[in-house]
Amino acid sequence: MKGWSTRELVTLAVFGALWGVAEMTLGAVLHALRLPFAGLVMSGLGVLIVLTGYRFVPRRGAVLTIGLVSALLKAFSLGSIVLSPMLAILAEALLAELGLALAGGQPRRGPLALAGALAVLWSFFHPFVGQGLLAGRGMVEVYRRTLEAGARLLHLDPHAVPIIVLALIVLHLAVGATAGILACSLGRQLSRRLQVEGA
Amino acid sequence: MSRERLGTTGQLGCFLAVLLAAVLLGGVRAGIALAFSLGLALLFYPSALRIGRSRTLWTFVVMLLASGALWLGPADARVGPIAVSSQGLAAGLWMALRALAILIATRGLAASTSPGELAGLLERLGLRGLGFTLGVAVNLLPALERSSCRTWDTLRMRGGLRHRRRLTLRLATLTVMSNALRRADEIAIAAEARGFGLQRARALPLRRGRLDGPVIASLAVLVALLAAWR
Repeated sequence: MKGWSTRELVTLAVFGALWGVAEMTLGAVLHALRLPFAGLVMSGLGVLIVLTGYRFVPRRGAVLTIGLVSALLKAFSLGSIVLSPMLAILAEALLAELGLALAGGQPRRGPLALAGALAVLWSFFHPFVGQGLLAGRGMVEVYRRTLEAGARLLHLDPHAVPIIVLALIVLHLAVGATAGILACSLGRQLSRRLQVEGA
Repeated sequence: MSRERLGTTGQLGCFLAVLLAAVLLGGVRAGIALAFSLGLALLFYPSALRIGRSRTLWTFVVMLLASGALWLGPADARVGPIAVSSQGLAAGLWMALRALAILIATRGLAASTSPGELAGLLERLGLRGLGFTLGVAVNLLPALERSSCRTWDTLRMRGGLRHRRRLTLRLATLTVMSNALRRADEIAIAAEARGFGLQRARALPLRRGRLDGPVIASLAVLVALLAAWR
């Protein structure tokens, strides 16, 4: 964060607070209702916010800083289990940062779409990794057996399981890439609106 | 003025020690990790034990026990029409104990340290300016909440999400974000006017506790012993 201006730090704070508020309000409700794909929705929204923030502070580490602020805000929100969402926020921010670094770091559609896709993909793996970290290696076996039993219950060919998993991965990538592209246009519209108001 | 028993580094040391103990002690030894976590919670952060009131936590524990009994290990007993495994139930129990140990320690860290203190720790690890950024974010929360409510009320009075949902959602997002950014401008100007700059910023102060040194040293020895025992 060396050489960053006060304005840039405050802008990162704004987007960190926005992601934090979304996690503490909508995220808490969605997870409490145990809706399917709640993680995907929250990841998509988080990525939209964080990458819009990157349009305003296109520096290496900006996305990670927004993620850190949001994770710290989440850590001190109400609710008993905060470790899992904190881990998810940090992992998504790290992956988005990685995506941006891989794509050259320009705040344009392509790099933002790649960053978004990588970040949202985490929400697919998060239950396995998060619960695996908490409960140990036994969770991997639990998930494998649950998938097999689910396939039997739905009268699916066990060979269809990898295809379903692949389809879910593609869905996550698509949502992330869309969030990245939307962040690009949202950032542009925001800049225009602020310029008009400032003039 | 009397100092607290544990400061920020002491609390962080407790958290890391429990995390390492839970990772190092598998199987039946997970019970030792939980006992260790409970002991530290009773000694230094008893409010963390309120996690026991959480229904989410117990749902997770029951899920671990049930999935262990159903999926892990050969079935050797029946509960009604369902075949279960006692070996699997034990494996589920060890997983639950490990998870409880980690969750209590996490709750303890969250209950005993403030966001600013954690930011101060991270600043000392090279993330200078994080404390300021976090402070601004915390102060922005009420303003963001008010702005979101006002925006939503305005949209609702104009028909809410009944028509042109995408446009309405986009306008709501734009309004909330532009309001927040405008406020950010004011904060940045005020901070600069008061001479704030990253070069002159000092890391947020950390709480120091009377027992920080001895506790961290004892925990380090204990974790080393656990690693050797493993």
